[in-house]
Amino acid sequence: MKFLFLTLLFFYSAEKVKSVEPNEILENKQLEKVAREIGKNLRCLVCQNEDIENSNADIAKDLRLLVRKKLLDGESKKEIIDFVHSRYGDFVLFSPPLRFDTLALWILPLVFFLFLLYLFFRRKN
Amino acid sequence: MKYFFLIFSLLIFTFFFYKGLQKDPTIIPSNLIEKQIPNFKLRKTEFFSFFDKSNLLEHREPIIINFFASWCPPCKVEHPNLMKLSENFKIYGIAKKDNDIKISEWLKESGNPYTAIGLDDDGSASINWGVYGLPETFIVNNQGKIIYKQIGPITKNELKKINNILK
Amino acid sequence: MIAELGIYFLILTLIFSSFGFSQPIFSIFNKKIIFFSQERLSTLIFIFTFLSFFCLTYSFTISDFSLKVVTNNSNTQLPLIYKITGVWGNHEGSILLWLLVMTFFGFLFSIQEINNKEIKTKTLYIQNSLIFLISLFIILTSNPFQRSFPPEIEGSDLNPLLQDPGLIIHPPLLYLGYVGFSIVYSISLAVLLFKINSNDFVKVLKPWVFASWTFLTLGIGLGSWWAYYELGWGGFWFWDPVENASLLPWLTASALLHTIIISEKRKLLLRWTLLLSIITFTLSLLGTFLVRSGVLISVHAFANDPSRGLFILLLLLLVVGTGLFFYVKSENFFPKRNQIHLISKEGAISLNNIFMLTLSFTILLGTIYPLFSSIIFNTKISVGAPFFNSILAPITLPLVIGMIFGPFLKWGNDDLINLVSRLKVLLFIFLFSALLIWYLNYRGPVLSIIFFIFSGLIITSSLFELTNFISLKPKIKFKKVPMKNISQLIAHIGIALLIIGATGTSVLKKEKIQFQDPNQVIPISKFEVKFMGVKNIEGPNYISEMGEFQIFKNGRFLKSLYPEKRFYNSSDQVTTEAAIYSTIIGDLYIAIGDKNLVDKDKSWTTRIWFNPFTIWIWIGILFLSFGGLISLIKSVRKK
Repeated sequence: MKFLFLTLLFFYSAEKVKSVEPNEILENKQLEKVAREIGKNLRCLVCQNEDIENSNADIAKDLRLLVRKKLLDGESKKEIIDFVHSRYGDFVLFSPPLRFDTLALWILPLVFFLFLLYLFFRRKN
Repeated sequence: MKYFFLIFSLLIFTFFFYKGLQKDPTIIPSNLIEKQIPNFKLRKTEFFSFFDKSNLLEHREPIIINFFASWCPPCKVEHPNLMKLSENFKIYGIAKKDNDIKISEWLKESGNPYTAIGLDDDGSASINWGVYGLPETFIVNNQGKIIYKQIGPITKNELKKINNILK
Repeated sequence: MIAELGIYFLILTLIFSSFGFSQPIFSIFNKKIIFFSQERLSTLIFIFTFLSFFCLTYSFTISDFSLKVVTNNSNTQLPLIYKITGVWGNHEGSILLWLLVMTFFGFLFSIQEINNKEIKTKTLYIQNSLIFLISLFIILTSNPFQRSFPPEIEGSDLNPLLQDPGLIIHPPLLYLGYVGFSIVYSISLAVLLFKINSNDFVKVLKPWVFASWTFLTLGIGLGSWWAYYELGWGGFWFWDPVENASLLPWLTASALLHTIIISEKRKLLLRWTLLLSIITFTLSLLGTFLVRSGVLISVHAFANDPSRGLFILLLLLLVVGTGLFFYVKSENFFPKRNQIHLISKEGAISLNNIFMLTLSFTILLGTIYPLFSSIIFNTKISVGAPFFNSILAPITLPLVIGMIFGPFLKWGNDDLINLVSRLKVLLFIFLFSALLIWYLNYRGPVLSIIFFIFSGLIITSSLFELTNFISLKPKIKFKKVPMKNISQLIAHIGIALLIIGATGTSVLKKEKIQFQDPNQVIPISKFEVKFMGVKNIEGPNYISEMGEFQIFKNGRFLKSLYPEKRFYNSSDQVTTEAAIYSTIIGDLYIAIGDKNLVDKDKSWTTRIWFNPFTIWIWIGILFLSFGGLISLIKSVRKK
């Protein structure tokens, strides 16, 4: 029980208040747009299901600034996402990478759909 | 035949949810296990010895890297256990978004387990290590590979585990 | 004292519902053993549960802090209305509310006029058995009447986020929907379990399906609307596990609703009706399990307790296992079905059902995939908004096509070429509408253009349907439009409006975030937003920083908006209350951030958004509910 309490203390509770701060927004509108796209794909690791653009947790802010800094340094969207992915693992990506173990996520819906087509429309004697 | 399929799928679902009940969804395993220490940049403190990546690679025995801050309550909770660990192993501290003076005051009062301390002002070193909260602790072996990560404060049980790993 | 009464009434519910379950079993051995009819039991159980719930509400109202739930979720400073809604702002109270609705619907069903007595009694048998299980769950794991000793002097407070008018009716409405499907399940299981040979069951099922679906639609819509104006950044759907959990039964219920239409008209898909009934209620229960067990991370998470999770898991297994078992067993019970042709009205409806069920399956899969993956592959992945948004378009667009052409197809077997020639005029109107919408939106992103066009086509096709009821010879005369066509038209137009609103709000959103000085004007869309500064205001249980913004359009003053940041006295929580100015073409949405501490010249971080067409989301949902309501009234009247 004590451990649970400490673990909960450990996580910074995020208020539902803020998102990107004015002084984080990049001057270059195109780059800022890319930054937002990247941000929407990155999970705020201590929040309950928010992306880094919509959280004011410390780690979210740090990651937002990191993303923008790397964009200004000329890195590509893929490079930046790969970097964050390499540090934090799959969990930080809101859309799982395409791999053997995530294949089912994309294939099963199709299988299900075809199965239903069969069930509804098959020839009955 | 259909009954078999039904019972089988129900059992599978039960198994998964039951297992799911026993897991803690908030613990995120480290992606850096079995990998080399990452690159990182720290700022020197006024009062303590400093270190960088090359210092960490110089060792012939395992070492501990501990991310902390003077403003972090769970860090204070794990502090006595860190002191115990520091008797046998070298602990390097990275203070995230912290203040020289506050660190110095705290460690003077409670004891200093750290061989050296660096400051991570903008959180970039934390990101390089895949740190998302405080405290977080890494064990690095004598070849510069990260072999274990502790998320959250080191409690008595965790202390035992860490001591076993370090042997 | 009142709390003791509360638990006693709850125990009475448990005892009497156990009679409901056990009497028929014992009566196999001794016919004289039935003391209470199921109808009488349903009435008694409802009264007891109501009294129990009343005791809990009373305890909250008088701030009886000797009760744990009151201490944890209420406060003497709380306005009375939130003391009452605090009853269901926590796990224990909300499950008691769930039970109350279940017994209420049981009672309603018992006094309903149903020709087939067997269906009535057997349905109540299942319903009372379910009530027994839920009341057992409450008493064993979620007792709201647990005392805390010694009693506290003051409570912690109701979470400030929940101190809001939307939260007064959101959970009750949602539960009316979820729990309504318990009756749907009970009817279906009764038919399957007791092999009730009757086609009446569809007629009995119909009003309950429509009622529950309508409540669920309103409940989900209200939740979404609440999130939009309360959470401070103008999102209305976050693909949070709990939101997904509510969408799953809604989708299968929508499929069920359409299947019932076919079952009634053509005596087809009877088994699908039963299967979907079982699945929909299972999904309602699954939603409960996901939220209260600690298995998933969610913004909605209640305090997590694995023992509760275990009980609900077993309950789920029992409900779905029993349902599916007897479903599979009943394979030969129904007459052999005819084939469904793709090009026919039932073909189009079936195809749309397939898409709805696939969407439901995919959302379920995405929501629980991280759990599966962590157990099988020992990885920790996230499946979030990007995944769900990407699968939404490919599934919704075919659905829309079905909605557009379905109403014009004939029952049984239709011919594609014949269809095209029948709809010559309509296709031409479609082309014209599509081009017009494209022209008006050509500057926008492609996906939004596509969605707008498809929504426009739904509306066009619905209006065209109405022309079937106008005869031109000998003179222009309006024939009476049947209710079922009206409800279908309204509901489908509701979907179109919903798509327009959702597309506009998410894809075409305009944003201006900055440090704004007093008297500085920020232009956005066709408006000018002038910041007037921030005042400190005292509320009943909070202190507020209230900003004032004057809105101008083309230089002409429209109104003032007052977004706030509230600091609640009893907890350390801060909430953002955004200020919204809704118009037909979109919402002006303003929130204040922090005071600018760097330049000490009174500037503040201000967030100003323009969300196009947002209001059409809510209007669309109201249309949908209205359509459901009309169908409900029609199905009840027909008896």
